[in-house]
Amino acid sequence: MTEDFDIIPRESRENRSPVVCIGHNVALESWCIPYVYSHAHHMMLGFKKSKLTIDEIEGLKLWSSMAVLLNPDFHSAWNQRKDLIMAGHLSPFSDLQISQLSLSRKPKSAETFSHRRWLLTRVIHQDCTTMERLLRQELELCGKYAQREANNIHAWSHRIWSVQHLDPNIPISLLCCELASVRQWVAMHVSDHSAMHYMEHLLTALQQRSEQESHDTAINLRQVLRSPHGDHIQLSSANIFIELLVEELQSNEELIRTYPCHEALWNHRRYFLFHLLHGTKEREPVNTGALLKHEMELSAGMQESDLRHSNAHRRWCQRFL
Amino acid sequence: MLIKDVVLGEDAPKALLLEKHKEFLLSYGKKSHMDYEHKMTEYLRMSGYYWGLTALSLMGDLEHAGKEEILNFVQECQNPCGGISPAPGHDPHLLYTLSAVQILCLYDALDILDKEAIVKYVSGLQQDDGSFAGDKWGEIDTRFSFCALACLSFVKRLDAVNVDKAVEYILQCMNFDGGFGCRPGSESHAGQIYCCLGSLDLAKGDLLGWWLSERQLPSGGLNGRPEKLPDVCYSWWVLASLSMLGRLHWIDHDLLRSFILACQDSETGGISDRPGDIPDPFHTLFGLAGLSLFGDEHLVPIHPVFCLPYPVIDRLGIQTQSLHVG
Repeated sequence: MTEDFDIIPRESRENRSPVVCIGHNVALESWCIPYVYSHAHHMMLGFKKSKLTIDEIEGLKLWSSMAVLLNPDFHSAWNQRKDLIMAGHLSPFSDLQISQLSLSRKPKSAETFSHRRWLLTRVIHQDCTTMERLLRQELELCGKYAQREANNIHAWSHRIWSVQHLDPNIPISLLCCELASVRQWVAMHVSDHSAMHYMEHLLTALQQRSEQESHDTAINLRQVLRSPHGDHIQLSSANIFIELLVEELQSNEELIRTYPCHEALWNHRRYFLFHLLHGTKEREPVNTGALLKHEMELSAGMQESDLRHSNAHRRWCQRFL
Repeated sequence: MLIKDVVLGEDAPKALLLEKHKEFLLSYGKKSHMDYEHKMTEYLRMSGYYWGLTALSLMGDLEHAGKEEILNFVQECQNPCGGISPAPGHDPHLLYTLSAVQILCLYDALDILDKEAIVKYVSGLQQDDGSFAGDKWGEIDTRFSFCALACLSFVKRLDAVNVDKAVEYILQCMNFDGGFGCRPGSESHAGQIYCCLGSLDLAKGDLLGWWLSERQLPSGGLNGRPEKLPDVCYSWWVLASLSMLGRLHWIDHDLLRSFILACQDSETGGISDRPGDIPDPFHTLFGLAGLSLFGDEHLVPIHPVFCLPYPVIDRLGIQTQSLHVG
């Protein structure tokens, strides 16, 4: 399977093939792009009719793939492929591959992620094993393209969509596994606000689960704690969730101290504070006074290394907590 | 202190280069239609026209853009389903339907399109949960809620959709930080916030105003999310949202002005995303629009919800409710 597609900047000097294949990767030399794209563009807009011959269908398949690879924003070309799928001429599964190739060149392409969501919605009623495989595939793909382009809001947003839609009964073990993985990511990407938002999304999902008390929930939540100890066995799942928030608040503080001047980390901190004070129902009482006092001390202590954000944080806490 | 931001150079422009910008925008559309770059950007042509024409209109110079040619183009882009495409042959979408309607409002020419067909197209995209799909393929985004509600306001047919449900859906997209994302559970983003606020008449004003005013960086420029570089287009998304919240004064006006002015290209005219980058009509409009919101004396005042000059909105007799913010 082809993994990556790209365009290599190169002038044309002789009459030769513009296609370059190295391992599982394929590229086109830049000199051919105006010709190839112009033809693909012409083909996309020239075939707006219902009755197509077999040759025309084959042509459309080929040229729509060229159009979307060279210009992933060309939404009518993606739509052309949707029509081909609806008519049974293309498989949604093979189109997942084309869209993956498109992402390999443009990891932030919103149109490509949108097309993927459409494809996935088409196959969503398949059997459980397929859906689980697809969900894992999407999670992995989002991780890969978040890595290629910093602060890739579209990749993280697609990851949230996948968790929300691909498996209505997503196992809590998978949510916890995702939490553990994004936790590591955040520690290594301290300015990636989108990744932090994904983590917040997972925590909110886990909070909802923790309110429906079950043995499975408690076990999974305990396992995802950073430093589980014997006392936690006695706790209800809602209270283990509070423990989780407290732990994350501490870990966030370590990151803020190690890597000053990261607004994303401070914003992320406010999620934990907000939910500890306002967002949890059944729980051990949280000592609001002590928590606020700690925030004031943290802000004051950070004055020298991070004046801008620590000041803003202090004022935010005073106003909104 | 290390902050992701830019530095405004000594030689950066410090006055607003209106004549240059007019020249830039008027010549922008003159490139050959056979041009490869022209084909690459055709998928958003209608919005391109809206950006350029509204920017010209803010500078009081709309009459120099070939009106008849543009109106013919818009007409050609309406499909039998009522929706409007970015260019002939492309598929219709709510994004381009709104751009087309806005262009027609500028020219006071809404009558050249089949308005009932537009109403039918837009209302047909509302889902049971109140959200809107961008087109028949079903992608959901709060941006599309804004496009739908704005389109219907212009043709005075808000009654054609379930507005309460639409508001309910948008409120579901609000995050703990007061901001809004593209769908419930999605990350706060200044562009989405603009769209959501534009659709709502109720918001947690202080909390959200806080988040928005934190977008201003030491250079004066605004970003769309924490730790992103400043970009002129956020002068619009952030300022318009703050203006709707009645908190425009939460941004340092002079600092932002010097940032926008520094993003002008003093040779070709036009405004770019950041100082030194290549200018385009999108950033030219939103830079000028930001200056206009702050009451720049050289510019026509702009409406913060519809992003069209106030006289156009007044001529249409459209009233927006003021926000009741806490």
